[in-house]
Amino acid sequence: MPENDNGMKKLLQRILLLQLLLALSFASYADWPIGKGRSSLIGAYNYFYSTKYFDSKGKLATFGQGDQFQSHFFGLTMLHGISRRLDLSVNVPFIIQDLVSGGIAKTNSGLGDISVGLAYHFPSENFQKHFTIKANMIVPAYENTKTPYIGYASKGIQGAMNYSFSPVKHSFCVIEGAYTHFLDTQDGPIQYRGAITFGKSLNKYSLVTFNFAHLDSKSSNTGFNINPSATKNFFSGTLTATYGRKITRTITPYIQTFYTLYGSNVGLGMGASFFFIVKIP
Amino acid sequence: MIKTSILFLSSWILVFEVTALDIPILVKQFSAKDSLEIRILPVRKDAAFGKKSPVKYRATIRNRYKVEQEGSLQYIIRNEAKSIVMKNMLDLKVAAGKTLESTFEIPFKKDGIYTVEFVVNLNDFNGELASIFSYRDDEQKNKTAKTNPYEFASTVENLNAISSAEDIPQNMDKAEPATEEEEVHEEEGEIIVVVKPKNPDGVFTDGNNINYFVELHNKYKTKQEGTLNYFLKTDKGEIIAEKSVAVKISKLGKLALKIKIPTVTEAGVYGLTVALNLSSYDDTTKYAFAYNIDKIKAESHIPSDFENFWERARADLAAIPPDYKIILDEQKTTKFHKIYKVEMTSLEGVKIFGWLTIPRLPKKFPVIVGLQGYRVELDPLVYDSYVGFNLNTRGIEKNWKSFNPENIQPLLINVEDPEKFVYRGIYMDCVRAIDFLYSHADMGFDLDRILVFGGSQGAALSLVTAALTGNRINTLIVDNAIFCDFHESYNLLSNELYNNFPIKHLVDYANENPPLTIKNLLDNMSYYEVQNFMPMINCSVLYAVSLLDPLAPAATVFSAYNKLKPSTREKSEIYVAPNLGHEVTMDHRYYQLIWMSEKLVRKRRNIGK
Repeated sequence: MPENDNGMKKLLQRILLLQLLLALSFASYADWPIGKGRSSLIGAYNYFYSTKYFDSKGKLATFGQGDQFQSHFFGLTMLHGISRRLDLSVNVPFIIQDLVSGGIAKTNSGLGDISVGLAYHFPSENFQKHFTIKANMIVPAYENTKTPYIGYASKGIQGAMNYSFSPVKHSFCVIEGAYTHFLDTQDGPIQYRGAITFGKSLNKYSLVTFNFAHLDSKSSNTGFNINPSATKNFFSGTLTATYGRKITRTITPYIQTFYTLYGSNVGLGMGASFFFIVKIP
Repeated sequence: MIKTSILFLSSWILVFEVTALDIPILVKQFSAKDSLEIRILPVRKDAAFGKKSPVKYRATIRNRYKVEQEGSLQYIIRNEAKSIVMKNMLDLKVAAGKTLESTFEIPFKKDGIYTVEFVVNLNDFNGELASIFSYRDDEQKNKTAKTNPYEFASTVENLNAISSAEDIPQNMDKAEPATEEEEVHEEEGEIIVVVKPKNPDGVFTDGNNINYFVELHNKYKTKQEGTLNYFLKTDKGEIIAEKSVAVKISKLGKLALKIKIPTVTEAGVYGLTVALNLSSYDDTTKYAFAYNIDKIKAESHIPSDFENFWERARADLAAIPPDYKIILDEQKTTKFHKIYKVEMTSLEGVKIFGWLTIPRLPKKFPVIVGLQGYRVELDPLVYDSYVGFNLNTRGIEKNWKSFNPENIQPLLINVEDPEKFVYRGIYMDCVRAIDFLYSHADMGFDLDRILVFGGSQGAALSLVTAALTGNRINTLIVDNAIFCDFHESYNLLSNELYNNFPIKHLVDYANENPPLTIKNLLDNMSYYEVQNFMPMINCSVLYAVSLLDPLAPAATVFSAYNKLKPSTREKSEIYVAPNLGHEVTMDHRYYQLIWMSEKLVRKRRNIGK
C-alpha cells in the first residue's frame, strides 16, 4: 500500500470510530444498551479538509504550495439490540477523496471498510453505570487499484471497552479504550485509541457533547505523505464538539465540528459533520 | 435496651424519568401533592431515659394539605406483659402548609422497658406507630441502645407502622445492669448488623439451602458478648423454629456468622426475626424470604357470576355518555409539553378527570397511563418521548367533597353491597380512561403502544384495567399490588405485620356494624379481589413484590401472580425485594425504564380497538 494512502485510511477510520461512538452514545445513552428488539439507524456525512500536517517531531508544517486533501464521507450504521445486554452494529461507509499533490489532482471514491461488531454491556446494579466490551471485525469492500487509496485494503479486528456513567445531573461520560490490528500486511498497523466523551442535555430536546480522542498508530512503515494521514506510524489528538436536537420522537439530527490538536506524522484536520439518528421504532 | 427495627412505609412514589434524547434523567417525583409528613423521635437518640433525662419525644408534623389539620396525638405505653400502663392524649392543630415542631414530655417514671404506641388522628390522616424506650431511675445503669426514629409520611395509604413487641424475645427485655467498664464506654459505639440472604432477592426454591449471612461489626471499644437468637415464622406469625447462638466479638472487631434456616417444605413467605443481645447493645430486626414462589397458591373465592358482574358494569358504563372535555391548562403547559385537563363522565354519572401531557413534537407517541394509589391525587405525568395520562378516579379531588361528604375511608363506601361498592365505579373509571385514549387517537396517541402502571392501589387498578379492557394495553408495570386476596389477608391477621390497611378497615367496620360480619364483607370483596382478574390479563406484566409489605401481604401478591395465564406469565417478570415494606428499590425503578423501553415500543398484536 502506498504510504500516502495509509494515513488517510487511519484518519477516516478515526472519524468513523468517533462517529460510531457518538452515535452509540446518543442512541443508547452514553453507550448504554440499545434495548432488546430495538434498533437505531445512523446516517452520517463528514467533510474533512487539510493543508497542513504535524511532522514526525510534532511540529506543524504546511503542504507544498497548492497541495491539499479533502474527503467526503457518507456512513450508514445500524445498531440492533439482540438482548438487553448484547448489541449488534454494522457500519457501511462510502468515501470520496480529492488529493492535490505537486499540481496533480486525483479523485477516488467507493465503499470503505465495512465494520461488523458486537457490544456486550455489564450494567451496575442500578443500571446507571455500564461497563461495555466490544469486538469488531473490519472487512474492506474495495481493492486499492486507484489512488488516492480509500484505505488499507486490509481486514482487521478491533477490541474495545468502555465505562459510561453520569458525572452530574442530565449528563453522561464515556471513557473508552480500543485496540485495532490490521492483519493483511506485515506493517499492520496496530492502533491504540483512548477517548473521553462528555455529554449534557441543554433542555428536553437538545444535547451537546465534547470528545477528546488520542490515537496512536504503530507500524514499521514510518513514511509520510501529503495525504494528511497517509502514514501507518503516527499519533494524534482530536477534539470534537457536537450539538443535537430531537425533531421527532424518533429522529435526532446532529452537527459536529472537529479539530486536530496535536500529532506526529498526521494531517491537521478540520471539518464538520452532519448526522442523524433514527430510532426504530 | 432494645433497638427494634421498624418498617419504614414510604408512600408509593413514582420516579419515572423523562428523557432528553432518551437519556434517563430524574426530573420529577410525583407524589401526593397533599400529604403529611410526621416524625416522632425520642429526644435521646438511644431512647434510654431516666431521672435526669425524662421521657421526651419530639414531634414534627409537616402539613402539605391546603387545609388545616386538627386532631389528636395519643400515646399508649405498654409494659413487657403488653398491659397498658399509661395512656394520654394531646391535641394537635397544624395550619395549612405549615410545620409543627413540638417537644412533649411523657410523665412516666418507672424502671423497665416499654413499648410506646403513638396514634395520630387528623382530618386527613390516621396512623399508628410503635417503638421501644427504657427508663431507669439510675441512669448510669441504663445501657446504651439504639432506637430507629419513627417516620411515617403518608396519606397515600393510611399506613400503620407497628413493630410488634411480640417480636421481641423475652430474654431481650431483661436488661442487666452494665458493668463499670461498659458504663465508661457507653455511648461510644454501636454494633453494625448486616444480615443478607444467600439469594439476594430472598427467593429460594426446592433444593436450595436457605442460608443467611450475618456480619456483626463491633464499634465499641469493649469486647461484646451475648447471644444471637433467631426465630423462623410462618406468614401467619407462628414460630416454627428458633435457635440461640453464643456470640463473642473483640473490641472494634468483626464477626461473621452463617445462619442455616431449617428446611421448610411449604411454599410461602417466611419471617425471620434476628435478635441480638450483647453486653452493650441489643437489637431486633425482621427479615423475610420466600420459598417456591411459583407454588404459592390461594383458595379461590371467585363468585359464579363474576364475569357477568363485570360485563354488566361495562355495559352500564357504555350507556353513560362520556362527555369528554379537554381543556388546555395554560399554567401547567410548558415550552416542551402541552398539558390538558381531561374531564369525563363515568359510571353513575360521576365526573372524573385526568392530566394529559403531550410532547410538542410532531407525529404519534406511545401512551403511558398512571393510576393512583389510595386517596392519592396525581399531577401531570411528563415524558419527552411519550404521552402521559395520569388518571384521578372518583372521590380524589378535594373540592369534590359532594362525592364523599363525610370523608370516610373510600374503601368503606357502600361496602355492604357489591353492586354499589365504590370500587365498581373506580374500576370503571379506569376503563373510561382507556376509552378516552381510543376515542382521541388524533391527538397523537399511538394506540398500538400503551403502558399502564401504578403502585399499591394503582397496581391493583392497573391489573384490573388490563383484565377489563381486552387487548387494549401492551404492558403493565405494577408494584406491591394491594387488594390481591382479601380472604387470605384476613387469614394472615394473626401476624401483627398484616393487621393493617386494607383488611383492618374491613374488620373494624364489620365489628362496628353488626349484624354485618366480616364474612359478608369478604363475600362482597370476592368481586373485587385482584386475583380473580388475573386470568383475564393478556399483556406482559412487570410485577414487584416486597416481602415485608404490611399492606400487600407478599403471599397474596405471589398467589395472584400465579393466576396469570401461562402465556401471560411467559412474557412477564417478577421482581422481589426481600427487606422492603410497601415500596420498591430505586434500582428497580431504573429497571422499569428498561422494561418500558423494551415493551412499550413493540407494536401490539391482536389489538382490540
